[in-house]
Amino acid sequence: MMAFVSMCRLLGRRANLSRLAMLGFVASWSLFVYQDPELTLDHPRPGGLNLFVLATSALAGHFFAGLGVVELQHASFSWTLPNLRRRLLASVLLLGVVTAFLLVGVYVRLGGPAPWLPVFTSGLLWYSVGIVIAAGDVRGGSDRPWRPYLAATLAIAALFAAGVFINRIAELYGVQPFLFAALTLAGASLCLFLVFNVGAARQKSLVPTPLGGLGDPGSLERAAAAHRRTPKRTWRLKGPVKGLFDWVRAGEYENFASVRGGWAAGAVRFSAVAALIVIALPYVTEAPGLSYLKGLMSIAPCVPAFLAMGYCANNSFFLQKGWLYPLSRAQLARLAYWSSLSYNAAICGIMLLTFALLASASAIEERVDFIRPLVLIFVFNPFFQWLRLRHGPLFFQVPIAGLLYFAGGVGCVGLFRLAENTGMPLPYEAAAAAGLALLSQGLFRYKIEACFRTRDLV
Amino acid sequence: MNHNMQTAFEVKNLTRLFGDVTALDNVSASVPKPSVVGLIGRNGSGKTTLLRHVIGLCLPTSGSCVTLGRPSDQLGPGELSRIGVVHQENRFLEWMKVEQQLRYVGSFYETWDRDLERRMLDELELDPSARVGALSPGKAQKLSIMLAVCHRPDLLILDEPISWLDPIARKRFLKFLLELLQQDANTIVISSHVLHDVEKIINRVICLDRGRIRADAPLDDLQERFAEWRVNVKAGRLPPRFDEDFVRSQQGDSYQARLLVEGASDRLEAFRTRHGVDVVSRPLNLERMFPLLVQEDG
Repeated sequence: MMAFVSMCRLLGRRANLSRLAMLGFVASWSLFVYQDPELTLDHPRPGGLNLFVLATSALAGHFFAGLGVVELQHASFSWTLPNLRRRLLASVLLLGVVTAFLLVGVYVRLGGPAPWLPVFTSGLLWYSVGIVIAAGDVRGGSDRPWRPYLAATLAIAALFAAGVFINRIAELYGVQPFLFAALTLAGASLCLFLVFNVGAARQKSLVPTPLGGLGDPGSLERAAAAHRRTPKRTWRLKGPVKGLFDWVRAGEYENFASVRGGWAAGAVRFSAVAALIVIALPYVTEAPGLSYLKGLMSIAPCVPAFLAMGYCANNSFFLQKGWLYPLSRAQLARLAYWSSLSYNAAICGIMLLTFALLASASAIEERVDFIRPLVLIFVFNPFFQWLRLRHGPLFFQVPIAGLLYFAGGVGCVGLFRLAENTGMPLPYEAAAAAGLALLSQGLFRYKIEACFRTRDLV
Repeated sequence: MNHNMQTAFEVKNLTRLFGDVTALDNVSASVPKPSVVGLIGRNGSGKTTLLRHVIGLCLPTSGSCVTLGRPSDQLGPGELSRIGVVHQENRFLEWMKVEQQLRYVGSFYETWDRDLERRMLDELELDPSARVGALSPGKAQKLSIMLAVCHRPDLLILDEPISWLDPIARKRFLKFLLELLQQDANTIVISSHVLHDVEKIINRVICLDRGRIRADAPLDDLQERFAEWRVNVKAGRLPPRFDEDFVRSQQGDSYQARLLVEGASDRLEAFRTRHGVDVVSRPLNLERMFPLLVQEDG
């Protein structure tokens, strides 16, 4: 009971309102967008409904149960608290069963045709996969640090694949409901064993709480592997560091010198994935039996904008917080602004270049407009950069952040559609976008200066 | 000479609220140059908050703080380059090696002393090729100390700098601080709970309790003010409790007692005569003085 109460308290925090906003958005997205474009929104097709169950379960497992479990398991007291592991498992299971039942209820209410049992167990399986991804629980070992990343990538890829082939998978629901239920339950049990076995619990209690999710140290081996990372570049400036350019350089070095290829390599990888999603969609929807994916096409151009907003908001060239640099508050404010702007510009530049290269290489016939959504980064991202400065790297747990993120995304879609449908001449459109960006950037700069003038810097 | 030029920092009526919690309550203090100040107090008494105000990381709710002649919220590169800080919690770029971290931070300061850096690496037995993220807490603290002192700051702020150090490292560090003081005549503020070590180098004590200053005086003055009296009865029995107002605490039995007294150096003879006892007076060290300093009024 105690662990269940702890879990409920963890889940009931204000921070989770933000997660709830994200979850609600993605769930409704999968329910309503994932269908033939000619269908009305109040009659979603089975494909969308089936995916709704899987996606919502996985997200609930990740954002609610998974991150809560991670927080408790990585506490230094977790190993010695009597029966914490078992009680935690019981409460996680209970939450999973309740979630899956609720989702089955929605499924049946909206006219889902499959028997409820395989839908229910599929929900449980993806709920467990969500927890595994959050907990980063696949053992890498010191010589195979890539394994957790591979496992997480496979899990995410499996979720995408399940989305694409959901109608075919759902056919199995009706053909072999009990076999399907047994297989999915076995998969769910394996996932929960990975997270809650004794060895994992022992190791995790020795490692500080990670920031959450993929890529954070989840075991001693991974923490050790992180320690063994070497800076890929040497700090060459002999000093003294003077002027805005040097300080941005220092911020870039602090944030990215340990990453092979620096910020650009990460941006290229990320852009390639975003571009491939957009470029591959028209081909996928043309495949026989996959026409139900056409609804996705309507938001395809905004995918890179959405992803880029999240990517840009999570990094910057700004300096480490809490150190006493020989910089006045006014200089720090100026640096915070220019480091954010230069980072956004750099990422957008890399993304556009990557998109252009991949689009030309794929000989895509339908023109996909990447530029408009990316330009809007300069309108919306200052708000996230501001939240990041104000609340630190976990700013996405601030309730307003999740809502802003989706408001920004929807704003991107809206502005993009408005420009397209009204047939606004390009110079006017460019002027309007520049005006909005200037307004947003000006507000951002004003808020940053006020922040550094009036707030604590710890 | 300008008053500000003689003062390392000065806080006046400084109050800091965190929501409903009063972290600092109308604190006023002035620390001259050069001096070595011990900032002592119980957990949560406001020591770290005060130091963060001095270096401009935190801003007061009311009152003022002037550091190196400038309001601490307006400290510029010139003043900040003259300040060194060891934070209570070490924050490094964990993927660097020790030598890389030193080179990186050193590049921000025109006055970075490479000779001092080499010497400290030797004395503190830090391996330059060790990965910062893999350092033990004690070694991380040594690195933090190096990063704070190698640019030879005029004002050195040390927030719990020796809590993780072993006795040998502590001794070396304190010796080094004394040398630094002799060479550069700078001001050091050291906040610590390891009072018997700190006592060896400080010449002034600021004691905070619940956000208020309980004592702000030279250590010598405090040692004159507080003393332990060992009282032995000559005949008869000692009273269960001595009623003199300078007696702050009493332990013992009917034949001998240990009294902690305050402001009683000139009343020793009168006490002997009144009670017919032998009294041996000893000065109190900071560790034993501390409970008296933070005791509630009355």
